[in-house]
Amino acid sequence: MSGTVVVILNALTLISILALVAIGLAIVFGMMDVMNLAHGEFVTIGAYTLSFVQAARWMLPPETAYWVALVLAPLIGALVGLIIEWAVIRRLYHRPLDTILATFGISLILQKLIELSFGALPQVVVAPVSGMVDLFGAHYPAYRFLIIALGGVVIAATLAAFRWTQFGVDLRAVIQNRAMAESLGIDAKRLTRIAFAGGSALASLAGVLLAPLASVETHLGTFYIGKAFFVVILGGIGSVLGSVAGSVLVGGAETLLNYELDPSLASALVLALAIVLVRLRPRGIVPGYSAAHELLGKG
Amino acid sequence: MGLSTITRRRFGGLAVGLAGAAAFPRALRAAEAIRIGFLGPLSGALAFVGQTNQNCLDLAVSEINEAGGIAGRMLEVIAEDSQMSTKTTLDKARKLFQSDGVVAVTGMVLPSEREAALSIAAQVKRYVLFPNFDEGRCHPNLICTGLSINQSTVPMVRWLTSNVGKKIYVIASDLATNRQIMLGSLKAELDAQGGTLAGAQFFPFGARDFGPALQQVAAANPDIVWHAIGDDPITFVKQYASFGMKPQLVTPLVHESIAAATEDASVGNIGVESSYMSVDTEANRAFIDAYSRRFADFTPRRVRGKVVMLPHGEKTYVAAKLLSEAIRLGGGTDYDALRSGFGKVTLAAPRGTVKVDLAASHLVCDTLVGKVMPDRGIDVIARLGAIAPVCTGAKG
Repeated sequence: MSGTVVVILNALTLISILALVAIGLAIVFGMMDVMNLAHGEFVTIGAYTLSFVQAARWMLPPETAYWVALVLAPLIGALVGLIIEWAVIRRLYHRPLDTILATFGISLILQKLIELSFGALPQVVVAPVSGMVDLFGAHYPAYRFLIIALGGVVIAATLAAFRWTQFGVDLRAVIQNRAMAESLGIDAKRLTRIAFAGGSALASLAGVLLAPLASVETHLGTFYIGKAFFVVILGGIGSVLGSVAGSVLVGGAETLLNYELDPSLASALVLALAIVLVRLRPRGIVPGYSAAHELLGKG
Repeated sequence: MGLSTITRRRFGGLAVGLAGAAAFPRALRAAEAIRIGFLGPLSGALAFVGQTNQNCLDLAVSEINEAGGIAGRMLEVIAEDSQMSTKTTLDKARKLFQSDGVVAVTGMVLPSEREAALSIAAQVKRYVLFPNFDEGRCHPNLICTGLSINQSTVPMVRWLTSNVGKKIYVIASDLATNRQIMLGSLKAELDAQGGTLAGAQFFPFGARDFGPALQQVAAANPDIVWHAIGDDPITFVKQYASFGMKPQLVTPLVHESIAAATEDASVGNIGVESSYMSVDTEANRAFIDAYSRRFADFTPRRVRGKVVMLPHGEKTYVAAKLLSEAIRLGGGTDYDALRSGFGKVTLAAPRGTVKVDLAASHLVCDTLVGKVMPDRGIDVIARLGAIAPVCTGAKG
């Protein structure tokens, strides 16, 4: 029994991280047709914010400094996102292929800037809680519970905001039909900028959460960006719920298969499963596009 | 044309010409220098390892030159970035051997870089000095300055079965050399010592979540977990510690840099290596001191007051010192002279006395068991002696 609970908890840890990284990617891709290859670097920025804040101390023990970083990292991520959107992305809105090249370049520049500032050595980070706790009949690391809880709350809040706030409604309108939304008085440019910054903030938050479980190096984000694109395509471009569904599918399948099969074979099978699913549901599990969007040739 | 016709521009040209003439003897000296190639990852995920190797090569070369060079000839380093890419390594190896005329290359980290450099070295009859532990690769143009499988895994398993426990679980990167040679050697020795293999899992490069594997390990309840997650040992060690795993963690992939980057997660881990920062020899103290002085600004990270050093760095340093001795003893830089020179060398390296076993392409040196202490330093807790290397990997 407790074994099954641990399996589920292991899957939930992976799903939380994947969903946080994928949501921003899904919105940005859905709204602006921008393939943001620099999205993974926001994960790295989050992780480095944590190591920087913990090293600087500000008279706080590293465990307390963690909470400071948890608040600070999304703000820094959002700020860097705003700068990149303003400096590069907004100039390339009608040239989707060029954004791939541009964001790839930004990704390399950010990696090198981080390396120049902090060096090539992996950074030291400390988890705010350590040890194992017994919950739901399982003996499980306390920090992983924290990831699941924080990730779950933030994902739920994002879903709620997307579903019920005026901002969310406007955002969905822009994703479905940008021209129509603009003609109804929605400031699409402003919304895209906020969405880009928001997605970057979520990725930076994921960076803080996963840093204590990972090696904090300049290329940290590159390991998550590939999987996140995979989640977005599977879940549905432009859909927050789709990103969550895609993460559940990819994270869940990978975790479960890892128990039964060789890990290399498990990764290959998840990929095969995704290919079959995309063939059956080409617009993803929860499509973010409407029929109108498809009429515009973007389906 | 009188003096008055010397314009400013002409005067400038004249000055450049004079300066060029003055510099000429210096260029002549450089032409006489013996060149050694550095070819390692100076960018990408392994940049820190590559940069450490380059530092250690520079340190060895300046020590050799300050002592008068090799029979009066200076040693000169030509450095290239392998970018962790096989194609780039091939191109750069071709450039180093064919255009720059280096007598040997060193500095590689990955087996793929070693193979790429070796394929060119074999064509031009030059040497590759590979500064890493490996699966027991043998080649007439190769000398590895790290331990071979039969010098590391095999004696370590023997030591573990009589000192720690007899039930081992293996978690390693999914490489053919790990699946076949490493696991095969480990299992054979384990069988011979009456131990059991509790399980083995191989992870593809890029795997970053070991939760499911660790749960299975805990269920199998081994005495020892042997890890060889080569692309990201830090992530593995952190997650291992966070799950409160009981089995003793043993790995050929622990050194002071990893210990320092994982907070308390590495403390108590046991490693097998040919060198650690704490090895108690005069040559090692001099080496670590000289490195700490010269590269104080390279990284802020310190272990026991010294700039953090990787075992790869010592291996690169040893490679350069061996090469210089081999040129001196062999009386030349061509392949046959070097080969005869390598056969005669006995070097007081930082790790202790080393000799070259030409038939097995590896060194004869002590195998050390290290343990990570709470101050992130590694103490040598056992010496398994000098074991003759054996070709367990590909030959030729």
